[in-house]
Amino acid sequence: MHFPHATTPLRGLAVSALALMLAACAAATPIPTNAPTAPAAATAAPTSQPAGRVSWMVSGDAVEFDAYKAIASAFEKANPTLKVDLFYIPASGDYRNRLDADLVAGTPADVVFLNYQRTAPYADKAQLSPITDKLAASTTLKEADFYAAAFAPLKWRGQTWCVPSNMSSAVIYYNKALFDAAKVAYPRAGWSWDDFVAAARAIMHEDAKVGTIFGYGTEISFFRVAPYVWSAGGEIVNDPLTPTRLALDGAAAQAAIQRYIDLQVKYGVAPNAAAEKAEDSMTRFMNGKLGMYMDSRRVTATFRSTIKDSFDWDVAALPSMGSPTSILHSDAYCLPAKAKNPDAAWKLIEFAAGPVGQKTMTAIGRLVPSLKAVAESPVFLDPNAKPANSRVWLDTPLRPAPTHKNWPAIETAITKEFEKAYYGVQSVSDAVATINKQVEVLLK
Amino acid sequence: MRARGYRLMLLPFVAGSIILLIGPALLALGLAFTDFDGLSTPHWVGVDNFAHLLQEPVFQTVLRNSVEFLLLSLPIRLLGAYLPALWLSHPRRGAGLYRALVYLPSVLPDVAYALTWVWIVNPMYGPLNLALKAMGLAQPGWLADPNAARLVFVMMAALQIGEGFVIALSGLRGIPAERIQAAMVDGAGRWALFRHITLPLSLPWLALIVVRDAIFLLPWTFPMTAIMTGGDPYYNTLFIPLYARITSIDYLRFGQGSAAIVFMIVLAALVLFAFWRFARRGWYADEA
Repeated sequence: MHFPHATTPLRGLAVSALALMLAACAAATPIPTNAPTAPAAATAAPTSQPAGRVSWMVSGDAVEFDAYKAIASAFEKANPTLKVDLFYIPASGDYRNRLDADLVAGTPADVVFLNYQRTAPYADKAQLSPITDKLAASTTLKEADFYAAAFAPLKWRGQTWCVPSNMSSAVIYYNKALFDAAKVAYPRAGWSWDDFVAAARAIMHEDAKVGTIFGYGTEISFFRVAPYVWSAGGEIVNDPLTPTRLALDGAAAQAAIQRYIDLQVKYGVAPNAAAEKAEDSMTRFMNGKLGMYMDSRRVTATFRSTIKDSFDWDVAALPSMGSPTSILHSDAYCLPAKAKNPDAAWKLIEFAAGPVGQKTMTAIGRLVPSLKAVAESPVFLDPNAKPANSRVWLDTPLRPAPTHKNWPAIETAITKEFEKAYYGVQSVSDAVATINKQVEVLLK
Repeated sequence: MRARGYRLMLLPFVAGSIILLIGPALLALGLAFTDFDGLSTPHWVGVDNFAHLLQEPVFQTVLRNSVEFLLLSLPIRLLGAYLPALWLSHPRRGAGLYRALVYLPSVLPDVAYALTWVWIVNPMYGPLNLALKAMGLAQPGWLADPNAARLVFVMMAALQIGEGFVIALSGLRGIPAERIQAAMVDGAGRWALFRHITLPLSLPWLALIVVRDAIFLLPWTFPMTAIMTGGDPYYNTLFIPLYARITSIDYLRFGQGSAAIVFMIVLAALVLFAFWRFARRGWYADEA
């Protein structure tokens, strides 16, 4: 029911309430943009140069922030009539809170940084400007220069909404020393699920000094199980772009979930709930107590700086349950509908998503570039930096998570029930039934 | 003149309460009847949000968690505040130290308190399970165990009873000594003294503690669960405040999040009503 006369005061009240609720979450301090190390600018200032200030809101750790500062500085050098105001919100949750507060107040930054799963919900609320025409007219960005997998989920309802800044995916990090000790061959290209389980079981043992060495471990979540559902020929939803129901009750999907869950409940090669709570799998891997760990490129820099020479490690593609598949992890630069300086904002997006921006971000080791030329360059495929097999991120077929305005809530529901099954609290069929019941209303 | 001075001193607190508590509470009440998503114009949806929540399996779990937590924590905190106050209401050696020890957990900042407990209940390296192991007892997974996780928050709440303790202590110290002496002259023993003098005269103070806890306890869970579990394992530590936050801010369903907060206020009111029905006979008997 809609009361037209009530909407304005109601919206005012709602906005006030939201502003109050979010006030504590929003860190509003603008950050100076004096970059310590600005790379050489790659683009010359065009003749019809937009002028003024362009605001850019970013998230990430301190190293990522330094990289953003470097990009902003390089952009200013290439575009002397423009000045970048960089807004930095370290934690992703706080970043989303701040973005929501800014959007509802009608004062978003000119350029925002979004996970690809968030673009459709914001586009659905008319909070983003489509960039289809801008991209078509761009002289510096060509869609064909990007990996198609990264651009695909940014297209929705016939429009392109954002430009992908990176394109990672889930892979298996493995401890070579534990493979050697167990006399197991390192993962080869195209290895199967059975190979993977056999390796995990061979590595798993009790060590007198450090305790249990687990074969495999990771957080349990939708993102960790979905690739295997696809690999086995199953589906998550009936239609990835406009889902109306989940498809996890399909035979292939259920079988894949069961095989994944067997790692914990049948073979016991992965930490149980208490062991995971005591020491999470990522920490176990860094401490040399976990044979294989599943995650995206994001943890690479941490592993480089933490593991150092403690043991040798590398990455492999996810084992296949049928056809090799992984799940897309990607972020994008987007243009809010209420950006105050949209021309300058687009210019900044072109620069940040272009070669200079992507090289700068890739150099810190956390991201896989979405631009093919940068991904194929030594900046990413550095032969002197671990992991040696970085190419796996470029060669594995990727699928994005489904697109739906309620997907974050749906994903949480799936994760929670998968977790129960993974730790033996319920069966896979019960988990799927519960998920279907919870998600039905969200997919309407 | 004097009264005006007092009113002036009250002004910051009244203004703060209106701006930060009453105003947002009323706005949340209004939002609970809309489909506000934080980004679009809200539309009136009547009681749809309440009906939706009551049908939602996760919210049913959240409601059950919240009721169970309140019903377990309230009496434990009441006894936890009253019994030490009773013991320390008489002069005894080291009383100052004991009072400080009882109050100490209450002065810890929420984040520090939560992180301390994350360490205490670590299933493998935490001191609690190490102690249980040394005694030959079973060692739960605590925050990883769906049956034990909620108990951790009950234990945490049970140890932060400093304010209730101070209220109970001041109430006990306000009991007129002549009443005690008169009863003793009449031959009352320790139990009779407690049953007929101390407890009835403490009831208004205990009621104050209950009223405060009924209002305070569920909001208290917000920082603790947000830091320690995020509602895990399997929604077992998801209480109404964190659920409302996730629903509103993460899922942009402010209408439903606000409706959840209304449920929380109703829950606190029900607890207070039940306590009032239970306790009023004792007060009236005493006052008569």
